[in-house]
Amino acid sequence: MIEVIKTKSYEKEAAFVNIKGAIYNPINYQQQSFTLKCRVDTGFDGGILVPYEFYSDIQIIGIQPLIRQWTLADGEKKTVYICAAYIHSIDSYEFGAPGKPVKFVIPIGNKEIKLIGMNLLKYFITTFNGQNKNFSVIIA
Amino acid sequence: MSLLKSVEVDIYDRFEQYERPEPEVTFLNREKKSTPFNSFLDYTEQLAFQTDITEFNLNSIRQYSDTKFDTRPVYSIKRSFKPALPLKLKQKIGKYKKSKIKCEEMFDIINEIGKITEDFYRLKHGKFLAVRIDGVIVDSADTEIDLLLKVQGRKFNTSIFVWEAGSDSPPGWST
Repeated sequence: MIEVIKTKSYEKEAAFVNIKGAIYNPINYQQQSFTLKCRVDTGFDGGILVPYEFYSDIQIIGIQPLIRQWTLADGEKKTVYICAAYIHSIDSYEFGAPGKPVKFVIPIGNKEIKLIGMNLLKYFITTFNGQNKNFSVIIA
Repeated sequence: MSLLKSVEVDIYDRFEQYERPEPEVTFLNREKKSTPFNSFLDYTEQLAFQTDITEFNLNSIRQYSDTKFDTRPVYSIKRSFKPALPLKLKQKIGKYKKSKIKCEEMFDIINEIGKITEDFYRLKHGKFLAVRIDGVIVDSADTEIDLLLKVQGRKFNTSIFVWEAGSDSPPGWST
């Protein structure tokens, strides 16, 4: 069975999707849910990249994010905070409980950029139509 | 234990064919105060030296002495369960704990600690590890997301970082 989640046109010459998810703390059963409009970046191999504001949100529910080395496309070396998050829905398509686990990446100093990368896109078939300036996300 | 120690001292005087071990190396060099040991290898060699000496003492006591000693296993042999970090690296970590440092410096610190940990524990390549800032492994898993789910919610006194054993290229934007 193949289900097309949505065929969307580009915004500002880029593909954007709306995602809903949550970060769980399995020890004290607290959670922090989020709704984000993220750009689809096939060159990014993490799950979701979010602004640094989320660092305090994670600490509120008692999660200590881990430090990870990270390289940018220009070769710049960075350290980021990472933890695990569950994605509940992408646009109108909803995953079954508890969702899909992905890497939640928080770079230090990032203010605006929100991305979804290959760690989340691996659950889908994503096709980009450059001529018509649209893309579709399919789950098989 | 006190009895054991007293015999250990005498055994070298009685049997001269055994060489007397060198006195413990004191690292307090007055000219170079900032270098207690030169490298990681020096420290491991020293540890190996210590363990050999203790084993030799016990065997020699059991063979050549008429008196009966307590034959219960001795658990007092010192062995290190975490890697010894070079002094310069320790200074960098101290700096990190006290004040803020740049991302690049943190990147280098993680790189050094990760490589030392990998060598010390002789890890299988491809494993993902959660490593404490002093080089002790907290948890491990086959994939990174499994590791994150394992460690999620646990509290640690120090910073924890993720290290992939046998990998020189950290993740990020693939070029």
